[in-house]
Amino acid sequence: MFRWRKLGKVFTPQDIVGRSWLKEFAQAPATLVFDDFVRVYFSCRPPADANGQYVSYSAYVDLDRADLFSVRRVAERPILDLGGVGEFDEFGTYPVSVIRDGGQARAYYAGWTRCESVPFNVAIGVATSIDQGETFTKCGNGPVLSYSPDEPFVLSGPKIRRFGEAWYLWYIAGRKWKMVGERAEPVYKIRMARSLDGIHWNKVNKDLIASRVEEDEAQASPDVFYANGKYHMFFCYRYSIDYRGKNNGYRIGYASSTDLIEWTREDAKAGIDVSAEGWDAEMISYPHVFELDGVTYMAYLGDQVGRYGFGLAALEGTLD
Amino acid sequence: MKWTKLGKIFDPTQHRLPNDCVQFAQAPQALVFSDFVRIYFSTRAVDKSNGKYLSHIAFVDMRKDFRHVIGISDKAVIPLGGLGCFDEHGIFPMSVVRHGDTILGYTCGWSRRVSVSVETGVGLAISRDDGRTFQRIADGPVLTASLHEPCLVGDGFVKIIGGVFHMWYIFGTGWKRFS
Repeated sequence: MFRWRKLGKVFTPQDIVGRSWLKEFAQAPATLVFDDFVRVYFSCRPPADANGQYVSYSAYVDLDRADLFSVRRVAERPILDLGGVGEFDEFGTYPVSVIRDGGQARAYYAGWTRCESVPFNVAIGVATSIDQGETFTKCGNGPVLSYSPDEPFVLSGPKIRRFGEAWYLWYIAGRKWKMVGERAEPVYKIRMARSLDGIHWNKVNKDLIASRVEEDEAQASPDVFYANGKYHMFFCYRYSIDYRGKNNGYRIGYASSTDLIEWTREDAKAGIDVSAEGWDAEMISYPHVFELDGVTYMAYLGDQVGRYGFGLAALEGTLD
Repeated sequence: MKWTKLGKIFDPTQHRLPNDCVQFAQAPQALVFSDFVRIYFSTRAVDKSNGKYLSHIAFVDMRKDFRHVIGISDKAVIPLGGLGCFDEHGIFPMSVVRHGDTILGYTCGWSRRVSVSVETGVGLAISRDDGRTFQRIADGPVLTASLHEPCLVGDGFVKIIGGVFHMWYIFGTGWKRFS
């Protein structure tokens, strides 16, 4: 048995001034641990354009390793440029997941473009950093993981991990666009791919997590953590309609596996739910689990999917 | 070598086409039968919701003298993709290849974008009725953009050589804006 003790919101993007590309949102936190600080990557947005449309950038905040509620530094500029005209990442780089690779860092990110019949499409790109993750250079102008017969659109939410010699990428793939009134809403499911070099990927081509609340449940942020002889996945899920409020909005789920392919979903064990009041009273989403100095933490988003920042919780009990 | 031009052999405006298509017979692709030739082409309908084009595959059957039309597809040869799919707004062109009892159609599906007009991918559809109709194998493409082929992967042409499938195709190196 385990539960997560909430420590509070740790970063509020509205507090940061002087960055035209950062007005609000700090979405999909992902960490890279340094000797004396923890770099937390997140995705944010400048103000909407004249047509009310957003772009997304990814950046980071450095938290003091000895006091994670002390912000030491915020990126001076986004870690990645947006793509050129007609490229898959022309309108956004969100979310991002970063891992060390020798002396470099490597970022897997979802690139967004705008479509006519549906609002957007997404594919996964890769970029490398030679300056400790402050800036990244794309490995190519196209995506490293893109559409295939059974993953026809919306490949997003990459989470990169290495276990043994292999690279693993958890991500989501769109299953259908569902018309809700005049609006096309995406339904997506958690998927996985494996690689020996992080560039050439083999998709497992399987929904890893059974849908629970409805057939068209949307699942996101598949964050896998190894502990006590098993793999633990924290993720988030929502209903397909009316999900921008409390009733049908995101919650955090849990599944475990011994082989990374077959997963047993047990949301009742997740050990975290919305609060009775406060910044995360309506929804919680985009979990990211990391270990630091003997404590296991979860970074996660609260109401409006991180519009006002992200928070931390600490594990009580053991992941078993 | 030298090609002797035989003249125009097919005028789409002189025939009734499926899917409310009214003009264009683009990218002809021949499938030879014992006593006739089936020529696939891409033709166009107008999208009633916005006046833009939709591309559909149709075919004409001709005698081997290429002077006599003996048939025209009278229904959809391949359905377009659903909402948000790579082939939602059209298939243009398609390459056909016999494989056992089936005919494989490698489609160039396209869908509309906002900052540029279009994005494409190569899909696969299979016919089990001598090429009269094809069923898409899935909602997604079999070949799409990758790290160094960033956009507009399409126009696949497939040949099976020594048991190995070979595809020639095109990709976009990038878009340029001319104001």
